[in-house]
Amino acid sequence: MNWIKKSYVSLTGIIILVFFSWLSATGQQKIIVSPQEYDGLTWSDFSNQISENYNVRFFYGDDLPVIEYVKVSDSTRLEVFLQELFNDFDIYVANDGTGNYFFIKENPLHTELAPGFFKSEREKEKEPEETSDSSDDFLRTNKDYASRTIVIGSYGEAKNGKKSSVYGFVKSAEDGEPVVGSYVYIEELGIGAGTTGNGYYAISVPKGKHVLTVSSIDRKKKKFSIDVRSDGQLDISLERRLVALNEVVVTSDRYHNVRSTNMGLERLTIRDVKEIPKVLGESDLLKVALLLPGVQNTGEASSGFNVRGSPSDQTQFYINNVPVYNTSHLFGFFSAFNPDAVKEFKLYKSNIPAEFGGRLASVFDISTKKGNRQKFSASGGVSPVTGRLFLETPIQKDKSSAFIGLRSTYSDWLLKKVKSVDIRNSKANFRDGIGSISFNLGKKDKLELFGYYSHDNISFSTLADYLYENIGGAINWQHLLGNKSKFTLSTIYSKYWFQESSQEITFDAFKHDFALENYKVKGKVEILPNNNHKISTGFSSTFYSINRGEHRPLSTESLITEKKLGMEFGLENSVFLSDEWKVLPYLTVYAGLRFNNYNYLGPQEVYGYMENRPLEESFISDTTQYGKGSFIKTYNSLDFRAVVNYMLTTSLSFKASFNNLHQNIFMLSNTISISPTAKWKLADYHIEPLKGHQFSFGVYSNPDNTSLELSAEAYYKYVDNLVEFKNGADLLVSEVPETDVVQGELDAYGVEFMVKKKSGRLNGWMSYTYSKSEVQVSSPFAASEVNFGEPYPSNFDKPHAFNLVANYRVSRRFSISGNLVYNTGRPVTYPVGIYYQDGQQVVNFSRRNEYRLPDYFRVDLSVNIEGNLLSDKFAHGSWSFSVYNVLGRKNAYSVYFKNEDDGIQAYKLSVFGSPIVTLTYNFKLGNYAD
Amino acid sequence: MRTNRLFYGLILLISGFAVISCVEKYSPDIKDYSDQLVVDGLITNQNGPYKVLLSKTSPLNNDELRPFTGASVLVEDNEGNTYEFDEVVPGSYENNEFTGEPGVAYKLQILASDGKLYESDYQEMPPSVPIDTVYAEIETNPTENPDYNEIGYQFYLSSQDVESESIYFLWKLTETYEYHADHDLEYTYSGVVVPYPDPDEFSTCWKTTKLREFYLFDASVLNNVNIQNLPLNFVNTETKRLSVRYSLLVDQYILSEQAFEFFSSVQEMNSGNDLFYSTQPYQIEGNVECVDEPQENVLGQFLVAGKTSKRIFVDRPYGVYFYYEVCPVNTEEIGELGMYHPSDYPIYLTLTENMVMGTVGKGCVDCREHGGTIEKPDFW
Repeated sequence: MNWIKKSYVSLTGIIILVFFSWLSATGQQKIIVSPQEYDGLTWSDFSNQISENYNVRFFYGDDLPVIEYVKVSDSTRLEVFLQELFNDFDIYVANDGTGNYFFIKENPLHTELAPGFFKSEREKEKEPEETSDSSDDFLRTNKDYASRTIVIGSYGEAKNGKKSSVYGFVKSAEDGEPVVGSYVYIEELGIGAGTTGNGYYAISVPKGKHVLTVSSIDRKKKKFSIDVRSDGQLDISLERRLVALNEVVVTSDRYHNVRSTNMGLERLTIRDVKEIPKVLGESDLLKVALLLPGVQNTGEASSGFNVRGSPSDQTQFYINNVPVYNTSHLFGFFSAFNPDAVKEFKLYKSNIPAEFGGRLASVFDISTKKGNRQKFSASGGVSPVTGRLFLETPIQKDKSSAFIGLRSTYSDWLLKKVKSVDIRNSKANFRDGIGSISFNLGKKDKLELFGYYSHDNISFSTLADYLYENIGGAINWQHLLGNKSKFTLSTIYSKYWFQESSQEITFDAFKHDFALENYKVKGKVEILPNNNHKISTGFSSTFYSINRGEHRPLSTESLITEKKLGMEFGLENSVFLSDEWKVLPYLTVYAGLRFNNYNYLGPQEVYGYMENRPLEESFISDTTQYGKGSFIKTYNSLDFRAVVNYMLTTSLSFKASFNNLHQNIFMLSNTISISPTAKWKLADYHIEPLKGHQFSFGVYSNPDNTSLELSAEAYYKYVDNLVEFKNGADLLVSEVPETDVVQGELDAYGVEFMVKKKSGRLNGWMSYTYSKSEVQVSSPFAASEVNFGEPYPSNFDKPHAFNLVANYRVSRRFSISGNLVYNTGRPVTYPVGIYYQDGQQVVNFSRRNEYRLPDYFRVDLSVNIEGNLLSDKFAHGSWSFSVYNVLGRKNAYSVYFKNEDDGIQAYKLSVFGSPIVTLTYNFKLGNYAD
Repeated sequence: MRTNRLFYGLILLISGFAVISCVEKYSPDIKDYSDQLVVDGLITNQNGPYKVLLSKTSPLNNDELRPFTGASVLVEDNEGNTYEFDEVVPGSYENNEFTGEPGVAYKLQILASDGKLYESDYQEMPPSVPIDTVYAEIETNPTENPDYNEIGYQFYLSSQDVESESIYFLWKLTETYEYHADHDLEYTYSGVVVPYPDPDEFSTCWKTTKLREFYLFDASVLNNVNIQNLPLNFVNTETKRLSVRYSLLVDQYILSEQAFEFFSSVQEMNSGNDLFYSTQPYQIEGNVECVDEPQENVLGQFLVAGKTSKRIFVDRPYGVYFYYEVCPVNTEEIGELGMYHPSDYPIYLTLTENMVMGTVGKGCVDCREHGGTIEKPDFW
C-alpha cells in the first residue's frame, strides 16, 4: 500500500535523532522489531504479539488508521519503528518507560509545556482520600501525560456527598457544532449519558479520578482522565472519524435500538443519505426515507409521503422547528431540502413524543447544521439538472457562526429535447435557500435565527402556470437551567402559497391564489432530576390563517367574475408533560400527556343545514355570521403517549406503545398523487378534527459482537373522521367545502422487519414490510358515500415491500452502493365495461381501487470516487456516478385508458423506463476530512 | 375538462422531464363485470321523434351494443300527460306524439320484462339560448415534429343572452363534408375491358360524422351569459375534410346541474385519463333508479334539455397546402391485365391527364369506400 510506504520515505533523520535521544534519556528497555518475526502482520496481530513477547501495552483510541500490512524491513527498535509507522498520520507514539505505549493525535511537545498540571497532579497524590478505587492502570501509567488529567471543580466548592455533577457540551472539533447523540460515560462505573440536541450532557459521578470516555457514531472516541472535585463543566470536542481501526459503534441510549424507548424511530444522518444512489444527480432525503420500512408513496417522482398507511397530510415535516407544507420540487422529482445544509433527520412512526402533536401518522424532523465555528468553508455540487452551493463561516470564532445554502435548477434544456410541442414550450424551474445565524450568549444561552425558502415555477406550454413557495423562519433560544435542565423557546413563522393561472380559453383565463400562514410559539423544559428520569414539559400555540382562494380574471378579455373564497382562522393551543422513567435497570417506561385546545375563529359565515339531510347546498337552512375573533367552535382533546421497554438481556428488548393523536388541519386533495394545487383546510364547524390511534409492539436486538441491529415491529392503527371527497368534487373553487367533504375511517396494520448494519466496510439495511390500509366512507345518504359505502384499499396500500440498501467501501477513496426495491403495485380503479350515450362510448369503472398495478421492482447502483487524500490542499472534489433503475425495468407509474377509434385501449406509463445515468461533481474547500 | 387537460399536461411534463419515460400498450387482467342497465334518453324543445335507448353494459373486449328489449317505456310530465314509447328497433324506444316545452318537467318510467320498475325524477326542461355565431379561422398548430406545423380551420362559437340565467352549456358537433374520388371510373375489367357508363357516378360523396368530443361550459363564473370565441374543433388539411366544402352543425343544450355533472364526469372518465394527477375514477351516477332495489346502479342519463342548433359551411381554404395523398395510377401493368385472378375482378381503370389508361384501387374511383354516401344531404 502506497500510503504506508510513504511514511517510510517521509521519515526524516531529525525525528529519529530526537527520539533516540529522548528515549535513551528515559532508560528505555530495548525491544527490537525484526523482519523475521513481525513482517507482514496485520496491526492487531502485530500489537498482540509484541504485547505477549515483551509485556508491553498499547493504548489507543478508535481513531487509529487501519494498517493491514505492517512492513518491517530492518531490525529496528520498537519505539522508533512505531513512530515511523504512524508518523504520516500525525500520530505520536510515546511510552512511559514501563512498557506502556500511547498513540496520541496531539503534538507531544504540548504535554511538556503544562507545568501547572504537574502541580495539580502532585496535589492529588498528596490527598489520598480523593483517589478513587477506580483509577486504573491507564491513569497510573499516564503520568507523562498529566496534562490530560483534567481537574473538574475544586475542593473549595465541593458540597457534601459523594457525588458531583459533570456537565458540558460535546462539539465537533472541525466546526464547533454540537455533536448530538454522542455518549459520555465512565466505563468502570457503568455511568453514562447521551448528549441532547445541542450537545449537552450531564452525569452524576463519584468524586475522585476516573476515565471518562466520549464516543459517537461518526466521531473519534476520546478518553480523558478526570479528577472530580466538585460540580463542574467539561466541554469536549470530538474529531470526525475517517477510518477507524475497529468500528465498534457505541451509540447513546437516546437512539439505541435496544435500550431506548423509541419505537418506529428512523434516524439517518446526511452521510447515510449521500451514500445512496441518486436520481438525476441529487441526494434526496425523502427518496431515502422512502426506502425505510413503513414508508410509501403512490409512485416514483410523485410527491406524497405515506407513513404506515396514512395519507400524506398526516405527516408533519419540520426543518429546525419550521413546518413545511409542500416538500417537493417539480411535483416530487426532487425534495425541497438542500442536502448540504442538513445534518440529520428523524422520522417517528410509532411513538411520537408528547412534544409533537397535530398530525396523526408521523413527524419528520429535519435538523440542519449550525455552521462551522472554526473556519470558513464552502461546498457544492453540479449535476445535469441542478447546481448547489453551501457556505459556512464563523462570525466570532467558537462563539457564533452562519451558513447559507442555495440551490437552483437549469433543467429547461432537458425539456427542449423532448418531442412533444407542449413540453418543448414548457418550463420547469425551482430554487431553494436556507440560512442560519447562531450565537452562544454566555455559557448558558444559545440563540439561532433560521430561515427557509423554496420556490417552484412550472409553465405548461402556454396553457397554464404553476407557482408555489414555502417561506419560513424561526428564532430558537436555548437556556440551561442549572446543570440538569434545559429550556428552549421557539417562535416560528411559516407560509405556503401557490398560484395557478390558466390561459387556455381566453374568456375563461383565470388566476387562482391560495395561502396558508402560521405563527407558532413553542416552549419546552427538559429536566433530568437524576439518572432515572427524563422529564419534558412545555406548551405550544399556533395561529393559522388561510386564504382559501382568490379566483380572478387573468386579462381584460377574460369574462371571469372575481371570486374570493375568503379567509379562515384557527388557534391551536397545547400543553404537554412526559417522563421517561427507568423503573428498573431492565424496565423503562415512557408516558406522555398532551392536552389540545383547538378553536375555529371568526370572522366567518357558517351555514346551517336541514336536519337529517346531507350537507348539500340545496339543504342549507340558515346562515350565521360570526364576528372577528369570535370562537365559532372549540374542540378539546387529550393525547396519550405511552411506551414500555422491557430488556430481556442487554442485547434484546421488547417494547410496546400506544399513541393517540388529533389533527386539525388537512389537505384538500382528491387526486391520486398530490397535485401542486392541493389546498389545506382547517377543521371547522362542520368538519371535525381527525383522530388517530396506534398500537405497536416490537422486538429489538443488537446481537453481541456484531454491528447489527435487528428489529421487528407490528402495528395497528385506526383513524376516525378521515377526510375524503365526494366523486368529481372540484376542490379548487369549492365555496362550501363541507359539501364536498365526507368523513370516514381508516384502518391500517402491518409488520415491519429490519436488519441494519450501521458501520463497517459493508453497511446499510434490509427491510420487509407487510401492511394493509383500508378506507371506508359510509353514510345514510348515497351522495355522501364513496365506493357505495364499501371499504376500499387506500391509494398507497402496497402489502409487500422489500428494500435493500447497501454501501461497500472498497477503500477510503472508492465506494460502491446499491438499492433494491420491491413492492406490490398500488391499487387502481380500472374500467370494466362500456356503455353508450348518444352513440358515444362511455367507460364504466370498477369499484374503487379494486385492481392493482403490476408489481414494482428496481435496482440502483452508484460509485463514489473521492479526490486525493492530501491533507494540505485548497479544495477537495468527488465524483458520484449513479445508475437509477439499472435493469431498465418498465415499472408502471400508472395505467390509463384512452377512448380510441377502435375502442378502449389501456396504456402503461413508465416514468423511468430505462436506466438513468447521472454524473455529479461535488466539491468543498479544504481536504477530504474537513 | 380544464383541470383534466392541464393535469394531463402535467403528466406529459413529468414524463418529458424524465426524458426516457415510455408509454406502452398494456392489457390488464380484468374480470367480467356485472351487466348493468343503461339508459340513454333525450327530450328537447325541438320536434321529435324522441328516443329512449335501453341497453346493458358491454365488456371491454367486445364493445357491441347489447340492447335491452321487451320493456315498456313511458314518459310522464308534471301536467298529467303520459306518452308511451314503442320499441321500434331492439332496445330503441320512440315517440313522435309530443314536443317538449321549457318549464315543463318530465319523468321516465321503465318497466322491464322481468317486472322491475325503473324511474327518474321529474326533470324540468331549461329554456334554450340562441347561438350567435359559429365561425372558422385558419390557424396553424405545432405538432410532435418541431419542423412541421399543421394548418387548418379552428372553429369558434359565441353565444350571448344577457337575459338568460342559463348556466350549464353542452355543445355536440356533427360534421358533414363533401369530397371527391381521386379519379373517374372510365372502364372496368372482368376478363374484358368495358367502358363504364357514368364515370362520375361515384366521384362525389358527403360524409356525416358525430364528433366524439363534446364541449361543456359552466357559465356561473361569468358575469352573464356572454360566451365569446369558445374554441371548438380543429380540422387540419391532412385529410379530405376541407378539400371541397365542410359543414359543422353545432347543437347547443342547456342542462340542469345534475345533467351537467353527468357530462363532466363522462368527459373526465373518457378523456385520455392518466389516472394519476386526475381525480379517482368512479362509476358515473345516472338519474334513473331501480324503484324496488335502490342499491342496483343504473347507468346513463334521461336528458331533458333546451336545444338550439346552428349550421355553418366553409369552403376549401384558399392558398393552403393539403397534405393528403392522391391515389397513384398504375400504367405499367396495363398490358398484363390477364394476369389478375378472376377473384380480384372487377379491376378498375381510369385515364391519366395524358389520357393513358391505368389501374387503380376501388377507393380511388368510388368515394363511398371512404364512408360517405353519394346522396346529397337536404341542407347542402
